[in-house]
Amino acid sequence: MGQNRNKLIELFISNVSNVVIHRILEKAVFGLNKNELGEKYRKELVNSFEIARRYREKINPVGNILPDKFYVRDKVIRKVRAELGLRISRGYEGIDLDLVDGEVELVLGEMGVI
Amino acid sequence: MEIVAKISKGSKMDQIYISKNRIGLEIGSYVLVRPVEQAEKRNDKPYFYNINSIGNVKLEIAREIFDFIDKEFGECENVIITGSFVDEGFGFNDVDVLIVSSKKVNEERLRKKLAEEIGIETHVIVIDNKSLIEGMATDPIYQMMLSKCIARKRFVYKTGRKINYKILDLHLLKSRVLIDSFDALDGNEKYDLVRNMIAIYLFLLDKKVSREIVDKEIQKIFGLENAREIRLNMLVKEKFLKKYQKIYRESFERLIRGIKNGAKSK
Repeated sequence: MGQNRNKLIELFISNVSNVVIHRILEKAVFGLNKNELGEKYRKELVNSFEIARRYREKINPVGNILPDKFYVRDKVIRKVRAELGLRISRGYEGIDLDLVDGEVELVLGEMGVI
Repeated sequence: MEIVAKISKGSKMDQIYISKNRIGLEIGSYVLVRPVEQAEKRNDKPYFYNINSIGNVKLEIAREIFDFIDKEFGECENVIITGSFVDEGFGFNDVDVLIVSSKKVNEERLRKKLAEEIGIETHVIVIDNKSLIEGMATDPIYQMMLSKCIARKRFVYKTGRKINYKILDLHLLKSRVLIDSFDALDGNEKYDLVRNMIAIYLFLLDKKVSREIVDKEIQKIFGLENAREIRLNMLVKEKFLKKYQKIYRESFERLIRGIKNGAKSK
């Protein structure tokens, strides 16, 4: 059960990282505007947020803050920074890394982790 | 929007009562009142794009949808039915209905009413003509959806291809869920994510994107008899993911190169 929980947490972290990466890239591309055109047809695509939520619902304590919240938060931050850093190092301009910590806190809050 | 209502007798003036729960016919707008018998019979022959055959039942559903949009939504530039509904057979999950209009409406409310009317789940998108043309030029998903459809009116949406690498990077990122969470997804979710990625992959290779072409490419890349195998969740995980990751990486590399070169269009 313990190992299973750890695996679920890692899967949860991957999906939350994706959510944050997507939100920050969206800001880099559209600023404060929404990507309405692209989202119209893709809004029915299952997304990382939905999958992260599915995993969250399997990680105890379900209705309470996770005892591993700092581990989860720090790992998500590292993953997001690595993924965005890869893009920046390859010449992608306009990504604001200062947004990472705040977005991670926000998404984890929405997921009931912190 | 059309409403059939009865004239009722008033003390000084007769009146026609209409429901407050309606889309369109705003307070203060002028309307034409005429007897139902004199209503013009409109041309209800739809236009088919890349559809070889369609059964009578589906044709009837399509007509019901067009009638509903005429009645509830009113004047619009076009109504396009697409998605799995226009494929052969009855394996569709819902009906994608694209209303081309610059009118602002509550899509969710319209979707619910339409679903109640025809008894099938629907996905309603209202989009203005300019955005639709923009979508056709920049987004492979739009090209794919409109490659096979039933339209209320004849249309020609021939546009040049413009590649915005940053936007496509965002769209591709959605398909990454499959790499991270293969086991958490059902067959339909997997298929949609694969299709999104392959459409982007083909678009980046400057190849034509249509539903059939994308399905054929999926079969070729993943060695499947039929793309439906994905919907049925019949994939061999390791073998499939190895190929999936390869295409994902290739697409991502092309996007990053495009972003680096600052090429927003070609």
